[in-house]
Amino acid sequence: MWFKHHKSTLGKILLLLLMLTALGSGLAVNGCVSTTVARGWSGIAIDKDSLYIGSSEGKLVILNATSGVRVQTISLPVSIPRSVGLSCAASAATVAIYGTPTVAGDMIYVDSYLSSGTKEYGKVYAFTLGKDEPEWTYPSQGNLNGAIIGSAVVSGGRVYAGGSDGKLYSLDAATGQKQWEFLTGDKIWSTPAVAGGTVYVASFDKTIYAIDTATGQERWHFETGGAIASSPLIYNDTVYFGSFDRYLYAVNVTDGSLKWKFQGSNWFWAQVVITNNVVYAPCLDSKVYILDAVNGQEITTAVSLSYRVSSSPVIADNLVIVADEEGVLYALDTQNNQRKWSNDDMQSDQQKVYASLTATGGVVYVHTNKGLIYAFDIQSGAKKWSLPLKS
Amino acid sequence: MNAWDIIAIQPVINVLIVLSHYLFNSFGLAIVALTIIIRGLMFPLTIKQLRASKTMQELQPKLAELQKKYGTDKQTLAQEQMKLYRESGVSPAGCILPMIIQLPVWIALYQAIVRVLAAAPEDFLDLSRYLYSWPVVHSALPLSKQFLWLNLAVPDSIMLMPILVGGTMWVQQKMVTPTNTDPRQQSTSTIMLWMMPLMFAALTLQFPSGLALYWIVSNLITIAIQYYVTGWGALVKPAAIKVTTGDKKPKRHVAQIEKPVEEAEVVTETTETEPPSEKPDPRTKSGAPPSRKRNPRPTGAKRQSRGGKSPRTRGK
Repeated sequence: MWFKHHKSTLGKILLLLLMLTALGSGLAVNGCVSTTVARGWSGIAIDKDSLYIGSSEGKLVILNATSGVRVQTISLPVSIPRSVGLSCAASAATVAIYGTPTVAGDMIYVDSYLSSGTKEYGKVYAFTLGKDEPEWTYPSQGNLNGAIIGSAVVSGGRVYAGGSDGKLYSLDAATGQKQWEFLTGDKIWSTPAVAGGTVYVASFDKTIYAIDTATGQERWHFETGGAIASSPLIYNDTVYFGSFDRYLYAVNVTDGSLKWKFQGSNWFWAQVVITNNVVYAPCLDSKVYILDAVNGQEITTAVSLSYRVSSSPVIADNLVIVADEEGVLYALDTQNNQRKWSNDDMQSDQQKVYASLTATGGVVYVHTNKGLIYAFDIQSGAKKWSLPLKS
Repeated sequence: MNAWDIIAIQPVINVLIVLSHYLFNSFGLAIVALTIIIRGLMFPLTIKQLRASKTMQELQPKLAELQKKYGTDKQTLAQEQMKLYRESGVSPAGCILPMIIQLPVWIALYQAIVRVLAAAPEDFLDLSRYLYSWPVVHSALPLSKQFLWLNLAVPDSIMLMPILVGGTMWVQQKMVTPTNTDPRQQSTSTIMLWMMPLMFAALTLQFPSGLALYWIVSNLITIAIQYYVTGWGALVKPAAIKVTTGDKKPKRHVAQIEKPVEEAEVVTETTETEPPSEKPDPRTKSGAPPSRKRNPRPTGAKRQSRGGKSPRTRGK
């Protein structure tokens, strides 16, 4: 009876519900339901016959380099304040590893990305090889107020790690005690570089800093037109790095003066590689630029790939190995800068590549976004094996 | 990128970044500016919708009359209603068109906010795919998520935004609530008045406060336009008000509001003895509005009501 008398009401309510459902569905397409969960893009560290990888589950996994057999899995001990609230932002804690683990002596160092709800935290872990429990963590209690995206760098008995809290930390490699910290104007996502008593670190504040490793005092800084996420590379007294302003920069390490800059068509995200005074600079415009390291002039036409490149290439056996995001692997011959081979096995498996590539003993290793490790023969490009990291 | 990304999300992302750059690197101000731009582009449509709503309100007595006349003959009733709409030059669908058009805008804006203020590194890296080649777009990133007390990328932690969204939407709805003498239609209006604000307040709990900021500014703009077209409407005089035709300027609305008040009193007194659902209102039969002469002193009528002569009115 009520329905009979309230047809008009029901009609309007149904229309409204329809609209709100459409709105809710549209928003949820990229809403809290499907917003990307941080999974990490750890590269692979190699020491003797072992591979060290940060998995998408936030674990340190050690594999036999020859066979791919799992040797050890270490869970990072984390303590993350759980967020509370009514919104979908209040979600479970996430542990991810973006930086490549760093092996030095009998220690391995891992930087972590920890998040809970809308908060991000970070922590540095140091393990003795073969042990499951960390030798030390920094900070020893609690977490840094910013995730660590880049890798840790070990040099001169110190560990250097940059955080999203905008700070570069210098830690004692044996004990984890903080030696000094240097504050930049924004997030640090890149991996620092150390050479000649100076540590170079790039920040989202559009600036690269040269800092005295002994005192933590700034020697010089150089400002670009955009945020910097690419890790600097030191080569022949020059620091090379890319910026969001779409320029690749070469800066003198002694005084921070500009040597040259080269413009691409999108961000330079990945670290460049250099051999024989030739810079191979992957760009998010789907090209690899080949430049003279001294003057920044293009040596040859840039190599166009099928998709953009965000993973750092690797040089081995006179080849530059580079992977595009869609999982196609290419080899460029450094003698003539021509493409030697390409392999789309990862693309066929619907794997994407963001992690830095690693090569040793005639094999190149790739960690994909869905947690698979691939091994390819460097000379032929043939796949040797692949296996999932997930336990 | 798919067609939706290219047509909707990419332009919104780039415009937001450019606006942020020129508005003191404030993403919040960029959202406010974008809202004003979008509502400015939709202004002709909004005006059309508000005028259609107003005409629909004015047609209520005639629609009620048709309902009573052809209540059992649904087909004839529908035909007569459509005829009335045609003659009046309004389309019922036209009233909700701007709302429907805004749906993709909301969705695009939401997806743009999520991408521009990306937290996970994967999302931030993905943002570069959406950028135009304008130098300013590249140099402006990353944008600050902070605006006033808000982190624009996440829901408001102190829950003020849901209240503001619901509140402004309630005011907007209240201003356009049809004034019905029919209790059944009145219940419809009441449900609509509360349902929209509550639903949007609930959505605000779940989505980034940047989107809530858009809703609030958009609601305020609608309120301003609504005031320009019809005045405060039922917001100021919540009694049974019948809006008269024609006037747009706020100055004249005073007269419009005064007039319904006197009518409200008459209606109230009528319903005490003759419920409209059972016996037709003689005024609607004739289709003519009540003469001012029947109650030439509206303020006096108001006092009469307050004086307790009409307890039902006071109860309302």
